[in-house]
Amino acid sequence: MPEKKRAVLTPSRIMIHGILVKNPVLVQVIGLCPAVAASADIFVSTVLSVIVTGLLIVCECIASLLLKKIPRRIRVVIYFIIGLVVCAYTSEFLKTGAPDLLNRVGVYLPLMAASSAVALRCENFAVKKSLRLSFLDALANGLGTSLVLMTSGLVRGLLGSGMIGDWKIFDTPPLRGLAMPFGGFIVLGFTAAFLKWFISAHLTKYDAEMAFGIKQRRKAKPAATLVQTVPAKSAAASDPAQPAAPAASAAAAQGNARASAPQRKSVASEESTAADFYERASSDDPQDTFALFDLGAFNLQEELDAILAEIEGLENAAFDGKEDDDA
Amino acid sequence: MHNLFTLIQTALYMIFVQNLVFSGGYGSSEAIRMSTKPKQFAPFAVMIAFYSTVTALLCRYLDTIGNINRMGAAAHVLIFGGVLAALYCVTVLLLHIFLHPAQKFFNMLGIAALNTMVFAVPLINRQAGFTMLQSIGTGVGSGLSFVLALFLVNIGLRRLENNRDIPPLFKGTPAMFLYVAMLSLAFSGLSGRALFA
Repeated sequence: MPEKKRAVLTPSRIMIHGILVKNPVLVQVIGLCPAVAASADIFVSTVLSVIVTGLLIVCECIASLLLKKIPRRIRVVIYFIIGLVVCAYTSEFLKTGAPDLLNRVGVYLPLMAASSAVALRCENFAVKKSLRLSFLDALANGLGTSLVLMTSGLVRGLLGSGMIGDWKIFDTPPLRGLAMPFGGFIVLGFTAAFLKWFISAHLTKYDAEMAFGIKQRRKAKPAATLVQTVPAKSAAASDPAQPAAPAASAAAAQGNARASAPQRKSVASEESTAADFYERASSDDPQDTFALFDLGAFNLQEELDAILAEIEGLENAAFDGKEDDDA
Repeated sequence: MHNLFTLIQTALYMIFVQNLVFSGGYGSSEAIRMSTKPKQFAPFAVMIAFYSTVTALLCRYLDTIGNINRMGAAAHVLIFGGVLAALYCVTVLLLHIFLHPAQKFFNMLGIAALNTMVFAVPLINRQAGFTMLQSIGTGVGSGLSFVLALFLVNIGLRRLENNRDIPPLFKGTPAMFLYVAMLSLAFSGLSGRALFA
């Protein structure tokens, strides 16, 4: 097991993960604020890229060296204070060197101090790993964020005003909407789709690990669990006095004749649905990545409701048919 | 009565017109990430509304002090950030002493307190020159606007997951970004600005 972990964390792997496969903005969905709101201009994007990379390197190195034994609830505020100091220093530096650029960055420069990218990378990686690996991770994630910020700045600047920075590239009616946050989200959406295609096409060995979602927070239940609950609820519905769980065991043990035939048919048809549902939920396939979102509670309830409704319908149909035969 | 009206008006403006998550992108990472945990909406909503309101109030109060008011932008960033950090530390300390919540609760508290949206509120108040009441209204409204964003994103994500018509390449975060873009566009429309000249 330790050898396997050591094999996973090679420098090249950390770099590829940070820049592409687990890109902080497009895959991990962290540090969106500057990418969405402030990166409508290549100069502003460049400034923010430098700041975020520097901040990540400083914070991750400090976290790896000094903060491993401090409780997490204290560490998060330390990252924030470090960020504040770095941003205030940068702000003063820009004020003297490039005041125009400082005005263009605006309120987004100090907000980098509260960036979720810094806190999450420090907590998820730096406090558990060595200084060297933490530095590489910070560099990779900084470059990954920078890549997205610069791409966004380039595309939004070019399509929004026909300019790259202060240079006019072509005359076009200005699409001011692209400079607004919704324009940023649209560009991020298409960039994420492009990155997904690129990884699927060129980095195929990372497919199994890639997850274009936030994080898998739900463990898949085996389909059998769901199948067993179906007769339990159904039996309980037929006999309201009997509690659900004992009804299930009673129905299973005694081979309840009324429940068996139609339910078996129904359960057999539902088995594939449930199995398919859980397969999707636990999928590692990058093409099916939305399954990685933690939305299972709602869908599970919907699935169960649908199954119960169908079983009740089949029971009623079978019962009505029996009555007709008797008549 | 007039004061109450001002407060409610500013809060409603922040929720529906200048929704910080959609119209400014502030705290959008947290909104998207937290929207996948519906069970934590209620405590998170209380936390974020508390932090945005109290931070706005304290920072506005500090800004009324002459010496602080005359300081430069970088000093204000440090002071407002210090207020937020101190507020978080005091809350953690009090909770640790009196309630002994689980570590998971503290993790959520950290996300609710130290994010771009809560930190942006006092900076925006200063930039816009809001009064004390307006600042409180902004704080309350920002907290509630975040909750609205959580609900809207959560509803969309559930529908996106069940949608089989989305091309495979756009499944996952690409579709989610485009969905949030549509919400953001809708809120931008409410602000009345001309989007395309």
